Amino acid sequence: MSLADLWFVLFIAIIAAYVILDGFDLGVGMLHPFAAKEDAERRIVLNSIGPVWDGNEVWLVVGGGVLFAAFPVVYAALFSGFYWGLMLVLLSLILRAVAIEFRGKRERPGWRALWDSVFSVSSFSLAMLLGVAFGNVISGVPLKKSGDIEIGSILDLLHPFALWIGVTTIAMLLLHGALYLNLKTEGDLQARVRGWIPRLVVAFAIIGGVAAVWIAVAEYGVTDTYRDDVWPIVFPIAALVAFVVMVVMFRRGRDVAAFFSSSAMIAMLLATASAGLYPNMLRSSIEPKFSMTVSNASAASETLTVMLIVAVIGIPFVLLYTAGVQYLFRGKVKLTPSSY
Amino acid sequence: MPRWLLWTCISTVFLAEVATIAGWWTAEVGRQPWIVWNVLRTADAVSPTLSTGQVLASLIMFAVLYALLLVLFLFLLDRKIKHGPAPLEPEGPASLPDTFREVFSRRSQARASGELEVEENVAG
Repeated sequence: MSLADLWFVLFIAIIAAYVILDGFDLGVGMLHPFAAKEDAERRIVLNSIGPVWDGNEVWLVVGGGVLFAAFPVVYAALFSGFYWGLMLVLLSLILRAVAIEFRGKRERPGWRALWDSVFSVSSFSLAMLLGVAFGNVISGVPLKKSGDIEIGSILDLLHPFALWIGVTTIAMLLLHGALYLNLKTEGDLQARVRGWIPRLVVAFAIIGGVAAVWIAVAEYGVTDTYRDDVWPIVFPIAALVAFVVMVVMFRRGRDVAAFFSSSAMIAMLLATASAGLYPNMLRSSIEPKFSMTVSNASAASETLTVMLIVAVIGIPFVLLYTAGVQYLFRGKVKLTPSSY
Repeated sequence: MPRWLLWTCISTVFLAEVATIAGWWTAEVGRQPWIVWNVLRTADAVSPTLSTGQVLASLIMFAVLYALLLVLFLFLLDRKIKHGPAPLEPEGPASLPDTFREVFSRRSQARASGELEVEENVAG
């Protein structure tokens, strides 16, 4: 395995960490208006992610940074090609953050209702946009020889497959967020969330199933790896197993195990997609030879080596404090004077 | 404290901002037409697929957003200042530990005094 390959794996791992961690933040945000009916409940739902949402969002920045440093050609093509998508992602991130922080600053119901809607809409929008972007990466983009993506307008990115992956992402994160809320709430609120989970499981199973079949059937090139080698099939199988384990654990009342199974499922789904993408990072729909691969899009090996040293030192610290904060705030949400 | 000193203190808030912007302006504008000095020109570094309209529109979007947030922030800050400091509240029943040492000492104290229930569902 070359240095560039190692960084590809690390990059996917970082993206997986982001989707798992900020995934439940987004899920909670999307569920917020449906699960919580009155102000006290809404505060509890908000404070379930209160201490951790900021640190979780940082993983996206880490992913973007890794892309910038390790695969700068992909970074350039992606962020300028998907320009408006990126701008909308930034807008949603800012608005979500502002909504969380500003919500509790006044007591007027109109104020709180406004920021509740902003929180929820921006969470939906983020999940959708990230899913659409991922869908486009899977299906291939009009990548020219010069390394630029030739997009007529943003509507070209909103084709049916990408939109479906966006909806799949929403469904997956709704379920993930609900499992997290189940861990953090009690009483009537928890009962309501628990009522939602079976429906979300079914919804995700159907929507995700359609997506899986669509990918397998359409000629996107991501299934080539699975036809050439046998071993990558372990990823989709592991994802399916994790899904089943999640359902079984939830029905048995093993809530922590259910949440961790959901996280494992997300990681395995990303592994499935990236194993299919490898060695391409951005596939060209114009001409396969123009595709950006792990080897032709990576930075110089000196850069990758330096980055590897920094990452090996830094990432364990980040994981440590992430786990530490989750442990510190474990158990059910308790509102204190310093809560949101 | 003499009033002129108080006014000077207030002015430093704005002066610091002016100094920061002036520094950035010098660096960014002074470096033109290079984006990397003597290595790469700005005109050569621009993404070919981006139109001026797109960049302008996104710039306007951010400017409007930030202006809005500034107004909101000043509004909230003004209300908070008028409201005065919050009254001292008695310590709530569930206060969060501040350090890891506190976390572990509380748990061992609680376990020793028999208060801690064995929680099976605590995330590890």
